[in-house]
Amino acid sequence: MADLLAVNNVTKAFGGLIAVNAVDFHIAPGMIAGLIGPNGAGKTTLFNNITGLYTPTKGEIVFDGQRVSGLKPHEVQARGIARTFQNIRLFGQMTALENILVGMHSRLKGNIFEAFFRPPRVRHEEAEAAAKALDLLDFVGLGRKFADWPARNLPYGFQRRLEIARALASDPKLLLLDEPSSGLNVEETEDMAFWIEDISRDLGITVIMVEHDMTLVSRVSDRVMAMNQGRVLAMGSAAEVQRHPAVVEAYIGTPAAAGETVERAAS
Amino acid sequence: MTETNPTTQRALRILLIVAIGYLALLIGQPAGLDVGRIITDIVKTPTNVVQQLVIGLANGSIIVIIALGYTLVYGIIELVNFAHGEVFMLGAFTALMALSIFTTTTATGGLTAPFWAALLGFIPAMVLCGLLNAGIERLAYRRLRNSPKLAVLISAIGMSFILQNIGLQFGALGKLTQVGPEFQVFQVLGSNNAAPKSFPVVLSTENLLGDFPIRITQADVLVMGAALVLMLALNWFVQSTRLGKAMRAVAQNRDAAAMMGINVDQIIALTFLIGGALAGAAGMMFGLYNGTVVFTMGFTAGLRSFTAAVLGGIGNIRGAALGGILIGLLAAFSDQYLAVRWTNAWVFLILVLVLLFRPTGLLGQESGDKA
Amino acid sequence: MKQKILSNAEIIGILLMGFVALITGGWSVIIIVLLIGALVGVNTEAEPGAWRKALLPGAISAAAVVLATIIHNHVIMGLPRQEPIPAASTAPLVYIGAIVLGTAMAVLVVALRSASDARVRKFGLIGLLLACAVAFPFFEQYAQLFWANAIIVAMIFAMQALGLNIVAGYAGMLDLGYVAFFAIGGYTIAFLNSPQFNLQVWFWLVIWVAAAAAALFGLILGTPVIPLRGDYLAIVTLGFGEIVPIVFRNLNAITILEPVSSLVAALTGNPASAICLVGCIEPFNLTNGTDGITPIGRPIFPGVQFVTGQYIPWYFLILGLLIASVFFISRLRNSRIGRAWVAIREDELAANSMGINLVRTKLIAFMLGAMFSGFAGAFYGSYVSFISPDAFDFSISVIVLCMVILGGTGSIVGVILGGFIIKVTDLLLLDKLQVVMGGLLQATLFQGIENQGMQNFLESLFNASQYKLLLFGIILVTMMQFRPQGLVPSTAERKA
Ligand SMILES: Nc1ncnc2c1ncn2[C@@H]1O[C@H](COP(=O)(O)OP(=O)(O)OP(=O)(O)O)[C@@H](O)[C@H]1O
Ligand SMILES: [Mg+2]
Repeated sequence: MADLLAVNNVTKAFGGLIAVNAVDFHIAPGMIAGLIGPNGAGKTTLFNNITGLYTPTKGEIVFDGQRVSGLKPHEVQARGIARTFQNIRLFGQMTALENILVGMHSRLKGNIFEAFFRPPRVRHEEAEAAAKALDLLDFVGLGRKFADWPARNLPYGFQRRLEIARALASDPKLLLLDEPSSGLNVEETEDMAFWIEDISRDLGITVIMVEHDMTLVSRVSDRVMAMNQGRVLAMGSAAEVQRHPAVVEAYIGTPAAAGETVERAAS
Repeated sequence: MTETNPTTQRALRILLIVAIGYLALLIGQPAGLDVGRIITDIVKTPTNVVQQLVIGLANGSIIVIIALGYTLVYGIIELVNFAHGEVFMLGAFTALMALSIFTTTTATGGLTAPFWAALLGFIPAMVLCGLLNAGIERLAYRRLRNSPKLAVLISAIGMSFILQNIGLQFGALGKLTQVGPEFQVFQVLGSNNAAPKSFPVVLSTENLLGDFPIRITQADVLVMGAALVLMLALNWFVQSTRLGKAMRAVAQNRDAAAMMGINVDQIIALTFLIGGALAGAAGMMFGLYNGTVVFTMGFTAGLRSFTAAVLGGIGNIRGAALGGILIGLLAAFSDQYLAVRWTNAWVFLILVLVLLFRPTGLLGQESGDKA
Repeated sequence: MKQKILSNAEIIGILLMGFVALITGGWSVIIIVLLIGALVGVNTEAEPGAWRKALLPGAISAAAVVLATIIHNHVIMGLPRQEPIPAASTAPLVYIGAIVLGTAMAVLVVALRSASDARVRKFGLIGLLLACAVAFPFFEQYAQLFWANAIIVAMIFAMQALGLNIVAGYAGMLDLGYVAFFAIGGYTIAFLNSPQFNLQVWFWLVIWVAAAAAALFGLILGTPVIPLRGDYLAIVTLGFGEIVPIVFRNLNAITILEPVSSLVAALTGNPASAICLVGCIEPFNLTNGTDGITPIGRPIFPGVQFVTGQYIPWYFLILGLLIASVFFISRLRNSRIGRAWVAIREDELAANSMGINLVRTKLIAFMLGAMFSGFAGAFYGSYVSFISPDAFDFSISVIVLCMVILGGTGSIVGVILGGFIIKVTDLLLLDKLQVVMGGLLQATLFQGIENQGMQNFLESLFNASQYKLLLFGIILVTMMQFRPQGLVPSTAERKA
């Protein structure tokens, strides 16, 4: 089967600092891929390259047969890559429902004149969008009663889920989750595992997830990739990667060894 | 896509530039950009060009000193201190009041003050404006340090309105002169709040070069000299003193500086204090040089100086100096060869163009120079 | 905790409204009690039967306002220099009626808000507001308040503030040169419908041309400016806002020569040989400089005369426009594009990653804002029938910004409220205050001070209308420090 995402030899340098160094990997459709590595390994930077926030210094990224490196974030998103952020970036003053509707932005059509005059087509589209947004709230287990809460007033765990719902709203083919369990307690992390599996199984969306929680990674990932200092150290099943000598070495000196949960404060 | 020949490309680019230039000369004419007349003027009195250079340098010196205040503050908290121009205006008023204590009426009915009074007058102007600026920071900005940047900017705009209104109502003191001789010091303020106030004559308007066609007066020398002294002093302070180094550290990285044990609040207040003192000095320089001050002058002076700071590269001390001189020259030449009425528009145009095409300014690249 | 009869908001409201009543007096008491009643009504928690809870605070508030009015009518009117008030307004029955009216308003608002029928809840308040708005000009005329002009100008500015609210409140861009578009709108109508060029283009077309011209300039300015950082955008727009009045001020004697021929002519010392393109016989006067352009075309409507001094037609025309603006803007806010604006304001990077085209979305906001301002400018020009560059300086941009900040960025109700508060204060209350202060000075301090100079000084010092800038400045600074979300925050508005 053709790859959904191909990251071909991508390098990203900030001045002298090479945050992502010749990273090369492929993701097949339907897969859940885990991305691990100590702090500063370049995981988030890699995500930012894929989603168009950064343009790779070298190499290219091909998604669904089209080159996406060099496109603007909204153009990448329109092609079917959605993401969440390591330190939740919701639209705090907007309601939960509106946050999800913003996620649908690229899937809706209403232009400015239609916003003024609201013809039946737009009214219909808006109603459908709202219904779908409510469904998504249900899907991530938030419940409709939070629909008109300003996002910043939601509890932390709910905000993480809302962010996932917002990303799902655009019907992406590929979902990038940056530390979805960070800041969640054990129970919430457990739930998160279910949702990620649901997203993959029920919605058929391919997932790449940056995670420090190895239990979660081992549980849901079909494949795991480990990075350190911008380079890929190992790729394979979770067990293989954890045992890989380079990975073990990379984690020595950090607060926790590979295979344990790395407790991290949400920042 | 076909690759265009580099020569064709260059030709096209030149053509484009010529076309834009031509268009500018066409539509710029109502704003004084009339090459024919400019050439005629220059040919008629070539010495005038040098004269404008002198005027531009003197005015530029004042702009530099105000621009330093913008640049210092921007360097340290990334705020366009909108109220700075008004601090300068109040500085000019303070300077005027300081001078007026020593003002006497001449035989012809004009007002005059001795030279040493002008030099002495720098002290209250600088002290008061320094304190005022630091007070503004404390009152209107400090609480907002972690708010969105625009919130602080809006607060600064509000502050500038407040100060301008104070400048306007300050003029009311002039009415006290009618009360009795004990209020004679307020004579300089006249009887109309809003009207421009004349500075007492301090310096001789005699040409230091005698009959030479280019005029350099005491005022020119004083203003440029004062600017030079202030800049050297500031440079010494920032480069060589402990507090100056702390200032640079806070500008580079506030959190790191705080962790090194630097009292960030205190350093920021100090920066405002210094910026305000400079604005106060500029107020005195302006009054001595131009002879009149008015409560609305802070806005124009502020925007010119801000443009200078941006042109040089905001946050950069040397940049402010360069930008100030350039803007001073631009204004002088525009006054003479374009059209006085349009000078502000030309300055704003420069501001807009710099922000659009080179937001880092002329010297913006040298980040190590940041105050 | 002790149950308080009046909430903090109500106490502040009473103090402010009481102060207004104190300096205005006469029939204004009727309007002020209605306002304070509405405030109490809005401030009381809505629940079935809650109207009873509004009775006491409503009555107390109204009584406080009436007390202030009585002080005005019977004490302040005794001071020198006061303008007369209609005798009928000082009858005891009026005071009792005012208390009843204020209380009734409070009760009615609460009752409407806690109605069980959702439609009543939704349209009841709007209907009440509309009824008051319709009644206002007739009452104003009867009561000889002379407020109509201020209210009409306030509505024009509120329209402008609604436009700025799209730019600054929704999309989060600080446009400090907003007045430029107001000027462009005003000058467009002045060019096309005045004796300046002897053009009389149909009014209802001209206002759209004016709006389009402003939008066009918004596009021209916005395209390069929008990718800039927030504070740089603020400064560039400010520069634009300064350049535009300079241009209008000085384009009154245009002569344009062909540059090359003019250069050659200068070099050969033969000025006559330059080829002249524009303004050859006499310089072309485009804007009439500082003298401005007057008179400017008025709206045409069968059976209605729009003239200076006849406020009622203007009032309803502009009220209608304001209502239409509110209607359209609230639709915009709740559309795909409106959500995109707010998302950008909240988090630009996240919005971009969610598929929002930043430049295009912001540009639309910028142009729409410009369009509103141009539209308002055209009406302003037509209303005052006079356009000059002095009407468009930086302070106007800041005053409009002040309306948005005071009311609540992003909040339609707030922004309109802010517009009214600022403009009514600016045009009406400060002048009233000045009259009262002047009278007070003369009756008290001046009795002990013979010296004319001292009197002049005090008069100048206490001249309230000289403190406009100070007031707006204080509003901006204190709002940013203590209530950045404004009087009527937008989230609260949506949750209600
Ligand atoms: N915009 C930037 N400019 C300069 N350096 C950057 C930038 N973004 C990231 N870096 C640097 O790149 C390196 C990789 O950072 P990145 O955020 O990708 O790490 P990460 O693997 O996501 O770590 P964490 O687990 O802490 O999230 C770090 O050293 C970081 O400081
Ligand atoms: Mg990361």
